[in-house]
Amino acid sequence: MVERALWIIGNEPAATREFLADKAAFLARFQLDHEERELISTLDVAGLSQRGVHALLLINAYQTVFGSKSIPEYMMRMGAIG
Amino acid sequence: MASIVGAFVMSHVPLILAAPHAPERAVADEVFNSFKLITHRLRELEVDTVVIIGADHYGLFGPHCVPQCLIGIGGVDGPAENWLGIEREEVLTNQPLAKHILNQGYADGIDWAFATSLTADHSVILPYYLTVRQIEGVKTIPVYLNQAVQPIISSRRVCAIGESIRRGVESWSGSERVAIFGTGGVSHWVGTPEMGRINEAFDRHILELVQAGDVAGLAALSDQEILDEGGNGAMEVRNWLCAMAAVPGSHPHIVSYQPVPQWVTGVAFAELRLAA
Repeated sequence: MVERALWIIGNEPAATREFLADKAAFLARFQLDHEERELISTLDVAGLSQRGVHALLLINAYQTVFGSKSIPEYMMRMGAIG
Repeated sequence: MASIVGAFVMSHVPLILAAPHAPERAVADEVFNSFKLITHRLRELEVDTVVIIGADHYGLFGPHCVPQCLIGIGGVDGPAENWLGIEREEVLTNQPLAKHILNQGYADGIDWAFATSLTADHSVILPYYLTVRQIEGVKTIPVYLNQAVQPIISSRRVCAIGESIRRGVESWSGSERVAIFGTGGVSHWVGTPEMGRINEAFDRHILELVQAGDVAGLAALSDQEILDEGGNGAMEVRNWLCAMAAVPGSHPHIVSYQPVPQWVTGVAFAELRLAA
């Protein structure tokens, strides 16, 4: 359900707004454990990546929430080499 | 009879539109001039329909459904992304020919998924926006091959799809002059901890294979070789392979290549020239 939640955040504009408005309420729709909720709430892309979440879902959700100018920040949070 | 009169391969990295001023001016100019050259060639070749082979980025097709190959046979708009820097708009499409390519595919054993309504992502829309859209009346047929989610579409299947697209065009009763775009690549790591890496040696090896028209050599690259040397984004060279398979015996010409760190990608363009 982690990937499902991230895909919806990244691709459904109404869901993106709901996520930003009230993350706990939005994530209550999905069967997630406490750690998964925390990782998604904070868009902890490195933590989610370490759990095996698909990289494209991570960057899609991040860019949808924060915009294309957020890529350097995404890379920094991911610990990327760029 | 319809015919394929041109074919091109090109990068589709979204930052070309989303952050056009990020690289040095001369670097960006070479990229935009490459798109202009392709537009010029479409005009010269009197192309009226372009089959754009793109790669979903696990966005259009999510965890609920991942088609290995999909063709748009109905209305198309795009881009899907809200951050690409251009407004979503409708795309002029060639639906009769798209449906014929679909049916030719079924006759050839290609198990196409199809969309009667499709919002395309940057892999189709960016090349469309910078080339096809610049020429009034030119129509688009979008194709998506799965290079995003394992198991990724095989080279063998990609070649069969390219060959089937060619048969579809050549067996069509209309008089369309068709170009094929294979979009994506070259090396880039998208969203992974290696994001920002560009492997110029890998890119130049791929371009050597393209220049030589070496379909078998490109097809022989395993998923793991591409992932290790070119990153997850480099799987998109399978779109190039599909375009090359659609125009056997072409005479490829490399238009430009630059590693562009600001766009986190090796950015390349080539024309697969056909005999007049």
